[in-house]
Amino acid sequence: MSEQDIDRQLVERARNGDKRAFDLLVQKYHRRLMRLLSRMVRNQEEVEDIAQETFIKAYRALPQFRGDAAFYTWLYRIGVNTARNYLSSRKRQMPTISDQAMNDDDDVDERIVAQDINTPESMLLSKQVAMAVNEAVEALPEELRTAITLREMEGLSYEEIAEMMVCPIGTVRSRIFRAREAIAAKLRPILGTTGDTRW
Amino acid sequence: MVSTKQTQTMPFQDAEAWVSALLDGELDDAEAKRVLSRFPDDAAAVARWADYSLVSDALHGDAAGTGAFMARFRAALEDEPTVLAPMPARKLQPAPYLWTAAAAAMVAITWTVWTAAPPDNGSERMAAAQMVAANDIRPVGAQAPANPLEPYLAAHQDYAYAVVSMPEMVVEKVSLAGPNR
Amino acid sequence: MRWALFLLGLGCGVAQAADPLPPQDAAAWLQRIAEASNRYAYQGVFIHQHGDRMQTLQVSNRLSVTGKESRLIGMDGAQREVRCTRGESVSIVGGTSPRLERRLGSRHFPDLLPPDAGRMAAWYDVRLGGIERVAGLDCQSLTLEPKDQYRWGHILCVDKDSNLPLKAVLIDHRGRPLMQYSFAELQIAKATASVSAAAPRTRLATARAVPPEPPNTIVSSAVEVKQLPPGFSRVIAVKRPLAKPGIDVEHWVFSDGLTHISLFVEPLARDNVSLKGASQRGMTNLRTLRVGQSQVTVVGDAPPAAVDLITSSIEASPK
Repeated sequence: MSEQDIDRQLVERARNGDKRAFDLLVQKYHRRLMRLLSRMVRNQEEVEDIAQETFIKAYRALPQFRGDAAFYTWLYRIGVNTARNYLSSRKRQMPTISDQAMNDDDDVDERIVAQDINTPESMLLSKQVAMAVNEAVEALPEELRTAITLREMEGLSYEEIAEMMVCPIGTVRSRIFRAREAIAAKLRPILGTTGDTRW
Repeated sequence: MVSTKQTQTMPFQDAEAWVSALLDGELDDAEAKRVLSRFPDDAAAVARWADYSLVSDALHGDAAGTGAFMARFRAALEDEPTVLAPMPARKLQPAPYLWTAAAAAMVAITWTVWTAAPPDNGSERMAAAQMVAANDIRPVGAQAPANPLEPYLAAHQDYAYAVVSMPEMVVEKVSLAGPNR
Repeated sequence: MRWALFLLGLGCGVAQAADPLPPQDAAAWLQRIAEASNRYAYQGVFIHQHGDRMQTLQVSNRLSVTGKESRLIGMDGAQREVRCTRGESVSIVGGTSPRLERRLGSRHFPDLLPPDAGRMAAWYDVRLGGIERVAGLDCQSLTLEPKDQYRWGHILCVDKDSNLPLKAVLIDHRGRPLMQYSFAELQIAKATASVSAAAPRTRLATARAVPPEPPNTIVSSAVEVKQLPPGFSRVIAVKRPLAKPGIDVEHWVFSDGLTHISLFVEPLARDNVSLKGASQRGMTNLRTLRVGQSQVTVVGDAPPAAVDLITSSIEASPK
């Protein structure tokens, strides 16, 4: 079953009244959505607010999800629209770069948007996570590192990885699992959790 | 090479590996349906799902600090009326192949290392500086930047001027394109 | 014309909208200014202002047999020290977890003009303004007005004796400042006998050579750039890791010597979603879009016209 189908299955469960299934989708996609949003909105708190609004809107709109598009595509679209609405409502409150001004380079000075600062605490945490992940990957035995890299960075299927590494698919599955476990184990002390609410 | 079908039905070498395979869309349909039916009730599996998602995103540079995002979101979802709108049945699609074998053959595995130097006097710093490999040239904030544009701006400034404060930029006039659009 | 109005409005006494210098005089001025920072050791404190950001830096520049070496220390904000030698710089970023950052560039104020600055006279009209005072020193004001829409303008004020820039302002086509550097205090040592062998003086006739490309030059790429603004050429092409571990991004730099525009080419995101967008902030313009199977990002300290020209001429390479 492809990733897209798994997502669809989770949506299906959510539509049958299981909020926890939707929670799993949020777990999976909230960082990617926030990364997208942070290209449009500078302030981390605002990004989180818009992400939350996006997921709630998506949850309410689940009955309209037709299932012919990928869930994340549908989600991103809601996210971009939410961010657009947010930006245009903010535009009325403070000077910012209008689409019109972008085409008219006469008003550079007015285009400077008020500075927003990312929450240092969350930035520090994300740097620690990035460092820990890199260190954990470095520390992996080579066969685990290769397997997780081909999967995560190159997006190869287990079958393709099995061919490249000349080993059975079951072994690939096991290596990827063990690599993830090893990396996750390094993250847990930083997050102070066993993968629950902190992230 | 290796016959792939034979392993599809083999038992897992690690009992809990199914969450990892599920996340990758690498379970066959029967297996996937079976595990999905008990998934949300299995707290350990849910925790793994969250961890592995984070690992995956962090590898892609998306470790952006979300703090108590999930907790906040859950509280908000709690207040939402539960949606009840069962979906019409639909045929499952085969998993797409993202890369060709030819592309896969050219894969290079590289990892960047965070280079730390002791907060000592200048000469030691310079000694440490010379230890930086010549090809380890990375811009400021190359890891998990808070703003995704930051690495581009920093890399650009390598060639402009060595010392200027980086402008904070976000992309405006955004539109997205992708599959199913 | 707006430009002329601006020059009049500057009100610097003699800074009327004078006729531009003849090209050979303009080239000679630019060349003298470019060479000054290779001829004089100096130390001082300058202020850098871009948009709503301001930074104070201490700078010291000394000349050695291998060329010049300089050291910059940030005096506000995060602890930061940058050591520049020929061709590259190393930043030492302080705080709780100090780290090193190596960069490929080593240019910094007041050394802003390229070594072969004389050739910039082809793209700018140079006008002499009046005598001003910066950091307690008398300086000659010069204006570099771009002849086309692909470059920002510059106002320099150079020390009367050494020709070292004491102040540099980047301005838009209406003369409004986008970014500026200005010394608050400065001590200039006596001129050295000559520029070191490693940094030969370039005469105008030989000044047209394009800087050599670095060893890790890209020979093939997913995209082609069909058109560059006049005077621009590709000066850098490297592959480097950027935001995502394990994925190298192609980084090209196009330059006329003074203005730099970067092009980044990377595979589309794993979910095949591409982003199209544009941004301007102060002097910096950015465009990002999908070309073929690549996400391309163009960033330049250049007017929208230059960045747009490059962006619109990017095509996917025929496979």
